[in-house]
Amino acid sequence: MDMSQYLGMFIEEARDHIQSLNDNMLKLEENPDNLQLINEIFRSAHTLKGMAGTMGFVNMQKLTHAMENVLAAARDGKLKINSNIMDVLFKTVDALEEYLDVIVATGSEGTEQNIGLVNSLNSILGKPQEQTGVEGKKVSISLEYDEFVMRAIERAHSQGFNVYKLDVELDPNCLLKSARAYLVFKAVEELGEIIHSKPPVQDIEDEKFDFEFSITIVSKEPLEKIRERILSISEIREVKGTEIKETKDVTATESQQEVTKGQEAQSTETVKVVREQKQAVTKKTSQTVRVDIERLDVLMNLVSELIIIKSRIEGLAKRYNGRQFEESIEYLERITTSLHDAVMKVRMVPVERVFSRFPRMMRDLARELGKEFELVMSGEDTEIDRTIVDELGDPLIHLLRNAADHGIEDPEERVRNGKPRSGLIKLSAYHDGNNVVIEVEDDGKGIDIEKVKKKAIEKGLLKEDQLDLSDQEVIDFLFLPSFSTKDKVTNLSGRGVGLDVVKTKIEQLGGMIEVNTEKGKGTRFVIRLPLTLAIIQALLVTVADEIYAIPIASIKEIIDIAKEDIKTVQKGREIIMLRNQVIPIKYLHKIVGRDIDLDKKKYTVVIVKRGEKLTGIIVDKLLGQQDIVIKSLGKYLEGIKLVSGATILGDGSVAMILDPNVLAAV
Amino acid sequence: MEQYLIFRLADEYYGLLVSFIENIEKMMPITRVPNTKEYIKGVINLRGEIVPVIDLREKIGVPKEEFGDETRILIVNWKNEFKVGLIIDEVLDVVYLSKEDVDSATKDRNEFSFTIAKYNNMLINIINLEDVLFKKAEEG
Repeated sequence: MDMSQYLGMFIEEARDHIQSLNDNMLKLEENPDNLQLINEIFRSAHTLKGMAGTMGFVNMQKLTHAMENVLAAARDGKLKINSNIMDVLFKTVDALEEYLDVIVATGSEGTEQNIGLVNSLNSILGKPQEQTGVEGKKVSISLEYDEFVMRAIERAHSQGFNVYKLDVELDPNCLLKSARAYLVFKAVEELGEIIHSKPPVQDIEDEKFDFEFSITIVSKEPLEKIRERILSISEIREVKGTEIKETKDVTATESQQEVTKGQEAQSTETVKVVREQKQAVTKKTSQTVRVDIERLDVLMNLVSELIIIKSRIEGLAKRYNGRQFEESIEYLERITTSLHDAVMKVRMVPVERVFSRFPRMMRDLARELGKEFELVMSGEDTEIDRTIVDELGDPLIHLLRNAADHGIEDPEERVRNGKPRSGLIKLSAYHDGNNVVIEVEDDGKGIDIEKVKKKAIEKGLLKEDQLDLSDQEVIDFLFLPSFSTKDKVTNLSGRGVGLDVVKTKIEQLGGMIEVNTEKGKGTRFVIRLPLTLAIIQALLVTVADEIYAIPIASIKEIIDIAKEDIKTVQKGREIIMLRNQVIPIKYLHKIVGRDIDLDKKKYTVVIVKRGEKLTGIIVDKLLGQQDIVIKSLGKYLEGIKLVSGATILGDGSVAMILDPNVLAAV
Repeated sequence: MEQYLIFRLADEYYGLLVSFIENIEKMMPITRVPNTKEYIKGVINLRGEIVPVIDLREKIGVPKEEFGDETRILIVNWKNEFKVGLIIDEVLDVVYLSKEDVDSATKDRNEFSFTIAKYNNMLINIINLEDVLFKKAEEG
């Protein structure tokens, strides 16, 4: 069967399950005895195993299977969760995520078997190691059976019966696995009594198993006879039988801590491989949206209404009737607006999508850095356009790492300064008008302005006599490429990614970022993003006979100036003074490569901002402000600087949207 | 046997595999895109979709002329990755050409090479779309 059509669905669902594994495991770490959590984790692992099996991802299936066993033992109270077990479980989830990444990139799960991890999981249960083979080894029966079965085994022994555990493996090509299993059950029941089956009989009947199941039976017959009887059924590949002689508890504690070095090395290697593959093909499968069906219904209804009113207008156009015609047009207008809203909502997803992976990341980070802090998140349900959400991950990861690494002090230092031992990092999102605001705040030591100044002088960005800068201006240096105030390069800061990258990304998304900091109190990064990238408010301007759109969000103000107010400074650069601020001036017609006769007494200047930096753009004429729908210029024209897209105007003509960041770049 | 669209550029005949062509449009207003190559005339609004338009004459080095009544824009679809419009002088015919019709001889112009096909006494320059879209040629 061709499973590729289900791949997208598998990826989406697997991602959800992995996320919920991560979330619930974090909670479990706080409350290791919470049975409900263990149950939920078990369910996710179980479903994931089934899904991976169905798709033919055997390595992933094996790993989840081993994980499921551990969880089952914990669920049945045979295993107590401790931090070593949690570590192995977290590593397992990481490995599952890596499988998923490889699947996203290549469509197959790759060749990594994670034998080390499977062994660690098995050894938690005192199970034999993968390499040594399974047959004939001691079976830790105490973990396989519940008390009821254990008693049945004891009773059988005392009455002179034999107890066998039979691992039945079906042929991988076997169709109707449950029917085959039924035949096995029937055959075995002729020779003895089944006291336990794994998975439970109900699951076997529902085909909720892979190609293996095991049953435990009580019988007077010799093991070999039973084996042969089962093997005589067609499409049974193998039956492994073990006689269970004693029911003495086998403790599983000894091997719990075995997370071997070799295995760790192995898993880091996988990460590398996955990263490489990831970079190559991430775009392929990331553009799907799962949409609330209600929203689509609304959309559908509105579209049908639109079609109806359209035919009505067509009819009216034939025998024109002024008033009715106008009413219809108004109605059409209203529906179009609602349609626009509805479509926008389809594209909106909660920022939770990005936020949800941070608790886990911060937990690991705290361990890595040897610091103590808590991550508090709020406003996870704040919705923002899907395209923005997808791009938001990296900048936020950087800011959070930044807060943990540079912001939060060591516990001892915090105590010395009269702060609570454990730091606080807040990640919050909220709506503010047509914007979404995301804040990353820490209660750490704040940015050391003097240190930044010193560094700026060292780097030649600042002269000794220019020290009367405002704090804000000093902080802006942090956003310059390769500017780091960290003295020693750590695992975290040595990545070659700085705040400049964060800033560029945010600006690409049409947003902006600012920093508030107070020495000794903490730092707060505030990111302001548009709700959607698809529709923006823009100012339409003309140059010669061409119309251009400039996003309103990047315009500070529009002024008229007299020709003689334009001054020329060093190297022929033209500037104007606005409220004692020097603003460089550019001519739009030169930027877009048009010749116009600009012999006017007064010029219209659109002041655009890029961060704090202002640039005046002289335009020919203003046409006014309106909502525009951003359309891509397509792949063939990709990479053109200056133009960030195009829009279709009311009369059907096309106008270019100017990229304010390029306009402002000097 | 494959189907080709035969069209005219100045006084020469050209052919392009029909499977690439999505539509043939009459001339329509083209909005210039600043900072692009000369042969990219700009973009058009193709029923709500923004499509770049290339002047095929300029791209492959046939002398420029004014657009006329017969001027058309061939909307070609490159592997579902993007659409591009090609401005040509006149659409003539859609014909089947067999392998025998298509000569192995090639003609070079301005970095581009064309396979020659014979059809009803016409010599047809078969266009390699990949070359036209991606090969950088000297303009002019």
